Amino acid sequence: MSRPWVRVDVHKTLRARDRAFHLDTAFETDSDRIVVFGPSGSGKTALIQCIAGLMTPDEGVVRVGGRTLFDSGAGIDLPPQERRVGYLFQDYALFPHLTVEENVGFALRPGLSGRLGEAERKRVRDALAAFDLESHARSLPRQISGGQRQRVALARALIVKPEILLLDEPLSALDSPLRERVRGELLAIQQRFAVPMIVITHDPADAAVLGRMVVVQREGKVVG
Amino acid sequence: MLTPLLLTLKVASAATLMALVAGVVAARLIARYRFPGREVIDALCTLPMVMPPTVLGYYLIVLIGRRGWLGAWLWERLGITLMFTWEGAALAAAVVAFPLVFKGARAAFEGVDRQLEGAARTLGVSESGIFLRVTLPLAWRGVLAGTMLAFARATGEFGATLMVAGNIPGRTQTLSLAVYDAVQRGDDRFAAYLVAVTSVVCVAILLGAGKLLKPRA
Repeated sequence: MSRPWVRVDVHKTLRARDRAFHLDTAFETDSDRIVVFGPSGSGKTALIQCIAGLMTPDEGVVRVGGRTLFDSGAGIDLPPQERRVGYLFQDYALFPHLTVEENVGFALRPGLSGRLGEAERKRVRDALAAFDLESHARSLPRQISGGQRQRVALARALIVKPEILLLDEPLSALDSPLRERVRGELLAIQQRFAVPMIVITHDPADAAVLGRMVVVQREGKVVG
Repeated sequence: MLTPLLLTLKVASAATLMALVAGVVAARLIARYRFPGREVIDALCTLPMVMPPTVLGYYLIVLIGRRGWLGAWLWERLGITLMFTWEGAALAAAVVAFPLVFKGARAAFEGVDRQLEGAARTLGVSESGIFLRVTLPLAWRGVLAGTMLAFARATGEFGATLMVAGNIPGRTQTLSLAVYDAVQRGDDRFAAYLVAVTSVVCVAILLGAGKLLKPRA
């Protein structure tokens, strides 16, 4: 295993009208539970978008598990499709026109046509079972609860066995009694799938429970 | 009696198909990418909606006439011309109808949450797969509504068609041209019949498009 497991060093200037925001974040770690903690507007989402390849840094390096995903010096910029990065969006970004099982199996049909084969259908069934979603397989995302939607999004991201899982404020959309439980579920998922994860959050409780390694970010900079 | 109607449906169908393909491709490019000259292309794509059809017809003659830029090549190399043919009429109608597909499709594509496309990307799905499995299924109502308006517009096309394809009964004389012809001849009954047919076709299309455009319950 290459060390460190994760190395992130990204620089990007984001412009909105006359305001400029500078993202300059760097950290490296072998931890499998990284929390990036900071207030909203501190560039946390931009940071994980740079890791996932949905945003291109002006310069920098992103390495995960010995693979270079981005290196401006070496001219490396893998498309998101080749990064093997799981991404849990803040509002889950489930495909509204597809059922729960179609969402979960979405990545298993990378071609243009056809239905899933028997092996793929079994993988979808297993994933639905693992996330306690079997009874909602045929439901549309808008017909299930917020907590269930989050599990669909997790199942969809993990079914392709990503090398790292990025979670954008995974608890902010849930009400507080549910939060406690989901924190525990996230830890269990992380153990069970043995997938390193980077969680971004503005909630100190999340950072305390979920993070083995905490990066504190403010106004685009790492401050602790 | 039926010839102008059948010819109109043939011309309008071919025109709508051309406008659909070109309109969806152009709308996708404009809605998705930021590039220099984007505003100019956007304006050019909308231009046929505001320009007099006869002016469009003139441009088409400059392009595909036997001595036109493209037409001369077609005539000398392949011995074919689009002038005074139903295919030429279809091309003229396609140009006039194109902005309706383009506008509808562009609004529909811009209404698709880009985050969904980003999610599909991180799941390893190719760009063409994303278009066919995410973008198009979420935008198809807008695309289809624009396409139906384009069909209605192509059905009623007069000016550009007349310039390019003339007014040859049985070959290029569509409904709207036949109406003009019948009135000129003083054949009021035939004109009234053609007007009724055209009105029914257009109202049916508009009702269908309105249904599709209505927000989902």
